Amino acid sequence: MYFESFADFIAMDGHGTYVWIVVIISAVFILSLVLSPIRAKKQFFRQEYERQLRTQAASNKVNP
Amino acid sequence: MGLKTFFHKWGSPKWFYQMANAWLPWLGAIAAICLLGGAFFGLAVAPEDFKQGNSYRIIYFHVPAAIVSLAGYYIMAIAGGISIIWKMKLADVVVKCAAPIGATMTALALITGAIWGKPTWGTWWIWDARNTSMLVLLFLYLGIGALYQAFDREEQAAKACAILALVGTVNIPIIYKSVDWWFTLHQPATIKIIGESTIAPVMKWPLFAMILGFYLLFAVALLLRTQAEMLQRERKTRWVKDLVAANAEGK
Repeated sequence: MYFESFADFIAMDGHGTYVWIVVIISAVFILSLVLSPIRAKKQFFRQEYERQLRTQAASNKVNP
Repeated sequence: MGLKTFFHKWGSPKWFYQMANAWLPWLGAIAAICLLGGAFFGLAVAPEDFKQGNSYRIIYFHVPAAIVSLAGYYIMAIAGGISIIWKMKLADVVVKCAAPIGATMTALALITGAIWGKPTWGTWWIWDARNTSMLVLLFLYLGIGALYQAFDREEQAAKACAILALVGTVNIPIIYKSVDWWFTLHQPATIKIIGESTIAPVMKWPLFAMILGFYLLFAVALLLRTQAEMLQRERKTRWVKDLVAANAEGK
């Protein structure tokens, strides 16, 4: 560990604001890069399944 | 594997999808270890810089994002070349999916650079060659994303974007060399592949871990996005229908 205490680690000799804003922004960007396509895949599977169910129901009506 | 079978396999969306699924957990796990480990050692263990104090720790986020924003452009341009020469569907999708990821990386590099500039240079922004050429890179990425939306037909969009991606590569060596060619506040590279790096090992290794982590992050994001786009395009095919059914059963 380089810092004497946790408070020193947060303060970073007055540069803490700059460093921690960078850390937070980076974390948000990194998470959004990974989570947004995962959400898109999940949404695709859900919507596509519902659509298949609807078309099946429709075809069952035509040929019971 | 011969070149012909190579292209045949990579041309198969189903094969790509399965390969990506097999690779993603590994790539994701290694990326997470590199990013968390690199961030911890970079923020808490490495000593402060004798000139810049602790603000230099921004390097662990700024430099990897900048490096990968350039490498990502090469990947996108190569995919664009493949798409034009061999008319490969997967390459079209990669161009389309790499653009928003590259834009995110470039934006991150620019934002973290501005925040680093304030305590170090005394200004958020200067119109030097590197900042300006990085801004051009951001607009190229955003432009390719927007150009894709501008066409109704997928093949025309893919072709136009591939051409723009290839033309835009002239910007990349300008970004690399901008700190040597023009006057700037940017410091020259401290890490050298050939010759001695001008950075202490205890500061260097967390940086290498972060760079590797960002490369892997780019790969993970690109694979995931390409998978999602493939599913949309192939939704009428048997293998996607089977996947949808298997997914519904799993719940």
